[in-house]
Amino acid sequence: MNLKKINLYNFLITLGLVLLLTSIQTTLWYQWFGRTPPPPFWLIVSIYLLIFRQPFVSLFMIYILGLAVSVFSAIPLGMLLPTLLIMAVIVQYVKSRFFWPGLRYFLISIFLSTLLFNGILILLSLVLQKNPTPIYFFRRLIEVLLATITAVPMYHFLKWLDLKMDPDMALAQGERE
Amino acid sequence: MNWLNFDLRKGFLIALVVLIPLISINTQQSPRATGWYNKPFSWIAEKIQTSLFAFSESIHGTTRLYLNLVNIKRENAELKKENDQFKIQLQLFEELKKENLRMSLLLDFKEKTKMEMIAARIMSRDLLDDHATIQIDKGLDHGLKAGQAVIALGGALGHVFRPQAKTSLVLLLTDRFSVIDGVIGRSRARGIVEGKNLNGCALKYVEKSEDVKAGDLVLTSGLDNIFPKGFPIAIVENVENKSFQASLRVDLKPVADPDKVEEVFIITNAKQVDLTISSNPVAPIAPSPNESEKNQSL
Repeated sequence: MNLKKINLYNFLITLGLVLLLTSIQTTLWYQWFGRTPPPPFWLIVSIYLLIFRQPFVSLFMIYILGLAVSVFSAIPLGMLLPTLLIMAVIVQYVKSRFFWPGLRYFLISIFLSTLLFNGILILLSLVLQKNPTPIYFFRRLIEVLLATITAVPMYHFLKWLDLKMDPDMALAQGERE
Repeated sequence: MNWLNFDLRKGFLIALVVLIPLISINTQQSPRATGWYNKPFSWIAEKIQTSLFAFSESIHGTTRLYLNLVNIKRENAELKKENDQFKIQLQLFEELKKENLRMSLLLDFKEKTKMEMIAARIMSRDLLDDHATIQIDKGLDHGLKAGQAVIALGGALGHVFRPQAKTSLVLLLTDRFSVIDGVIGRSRARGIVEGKNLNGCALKYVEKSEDVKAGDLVLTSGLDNIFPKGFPIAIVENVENKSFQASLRVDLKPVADPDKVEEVFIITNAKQVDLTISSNPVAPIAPSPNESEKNQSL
């Protein structure tokens, strides 16, 4: 298999995983825990792609993920995609300055990126929407903390998936990064 | 034979041998009493037997106790398991009972109203906290269209926002983009019900001269042609009349809480039903906040 095919298969699996996890987040979590903020699985996967994929490839991928998860929400794409774009640019910029492979870097990235995502969403909503989104400070904080905790098993799973799909590529990424 | 040489000792022994059975025959006459001659043996035998019996009993007892313990433990475990099963069954029955009650209320409501409605179940909620939406298990295939009113037994919930083939996204009253034309039931003061946050909404553009008090029930005006006229929306929580504002600031608490509702109705045709003047028993009665909580719990 050539690299393009591997990338495509990997992305299709990731997309399926995001749809599954988002369904769990919106349906099962809601049925079991009610209004308790759930961990944003889709965001964790998006940030993983931003960190461990090439900049343009990752941006393309998170746009498709954004498109996929928008069916689970009333958020307009005009809000979601610009938020993802700004977040992606900042994450890539920081990554080009500071990067070390490993779980600790990923956890720090998840914590800061989910904070960043919520911050950008609030700011963009203030600028673009007539009725801006409420701040919901504690709910968002809980979400960020849950994302950081959930990121541990998800990191291992996504890394395992990368290695299963193509060990050479995963190792090459590690060297490159 | 020389009789003079009679052995006295021998004779005595023979006499004893003959006499003992005779004596014993005599003692047969009172068999219930222990003779004096038996008493020592009886005493010793009694002691030995008692000791042996006690020893045997103690072994039996210990063995029985151990066996009983094992049995009790097993029985206890079985009973516990049985008890747990009964508990689960009881819970299921309770849940079924509640569901049955809820369903019969819904059926009653659907049968008595003139409106055309489709029943649906709530499946999930919005991915982000920024929007208050729920997903229901009915969509375009069931005849749903964007903009149709979604109600629960207690009151209005929202409207169909984005119908898909088998499911639909419902924009709740509390979403910041939700707008419904409303009227205060008591004073008929008009306003627009707008979503505010996850738990509340506000009645906007109410003239300052209007009579609005905390506890008033806000009803649908029917002007939007989505909701039937006179259906409960929310209860006034707080009213502020500030000099620098052009209208009253009225905070509302929705009557129907989507977190406590499992089944909803989508009104496909309101048929110009006016619930405020209808004598129909399903016409909602203005509930107090406590009553609305009871309704929601149903």
